[in-house]
Amino acid sequence: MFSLARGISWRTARGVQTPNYYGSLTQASTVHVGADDKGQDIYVPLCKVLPMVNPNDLVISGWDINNYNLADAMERAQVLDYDLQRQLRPYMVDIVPMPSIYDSDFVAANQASRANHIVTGSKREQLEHVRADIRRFKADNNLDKVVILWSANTERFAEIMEGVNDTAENLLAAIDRDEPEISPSTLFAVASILENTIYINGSPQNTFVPGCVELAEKHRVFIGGDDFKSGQTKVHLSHTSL
Amino acid sequence: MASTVSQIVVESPNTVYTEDAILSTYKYQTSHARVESDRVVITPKEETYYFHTERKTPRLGVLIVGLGGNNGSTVVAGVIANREYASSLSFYRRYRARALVHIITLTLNHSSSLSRVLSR
Repeated sequence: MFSLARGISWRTARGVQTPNYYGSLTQASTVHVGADDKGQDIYVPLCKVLPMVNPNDLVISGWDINNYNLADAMERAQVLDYDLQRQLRPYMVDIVPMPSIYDSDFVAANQASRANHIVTGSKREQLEHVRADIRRFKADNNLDKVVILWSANTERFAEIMEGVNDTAENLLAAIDRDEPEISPSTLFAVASILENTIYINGSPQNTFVPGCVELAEKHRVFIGGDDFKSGQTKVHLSHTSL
Repeated sequence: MASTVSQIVVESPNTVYTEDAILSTYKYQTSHARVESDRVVITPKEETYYFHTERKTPRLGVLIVGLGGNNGSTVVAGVIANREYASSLSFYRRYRARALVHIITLTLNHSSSLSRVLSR
């Protein structure tokens, strides 16, 4: 009974550790909202300032160009303590990413050996495949809203070309004729916009080519972000609008 | 004190609460500057923003591109660990509450049998 009551806790060099959200800006920080009559400062938790989803309630899935389940992926990442990994394994072993879009022209060569789980076909077929994935995820989990987050490898910059990615119309037409200068991340962003889904970019690449931005404006879909480290403020700001 | 806060309420002419949303108006005051040959002219500038925040949090899904990478696998692990810990805490509280009821019931039963013995 009492071992169950402890939930997931793990041994580290410094003793027994339990999970917390101390590293989270929204879950662990406070905001100064004013002072009372006595001049006493009042602080409130950031997550109480506006209605906000608790991270424990998130339904998470996604894509990867590698077919590892998340238990093996966690081991490969070499981030978490072994004792924690050992306890999480049963929860993660059944989560397998959906196949993703891979284009060797846009990512570093070291990804080639990792790419064994990819969506094949023309760019239009890849786009439609991702759109179907989004719709299925939303329906299967009975979700009100979905956010797509790019956390994959950084791509090279796409060249901005007239008639290819300069306007929304040209971008969609270029996808139809399988234009090589359209990156996987732009395909994900376009799929996201067409499914009325928020898209946050986490890598410093030009996913949001002018045609993509115009498409988002046309469909009134929120897109944003350019890097998780330098762009963290943008990511957090975007969360408050959810 | 902050740990007991469950919600904040803004009483302001710029904030309206409806059943579904929080509507707020924010005036952003800044400056506009222009260079005129040998001088810089600065004028005040005000922009008004309208915020519409839904009060009901949605059932939210996240789709991560690169789910099997270091970021993807670690964030999923973190959420699962926290979720399991939270549900075990509530399990523990329910268990403790049930145990308390059980003890009270036992005590009552016991005291009634005790009184029966005494009344004999």
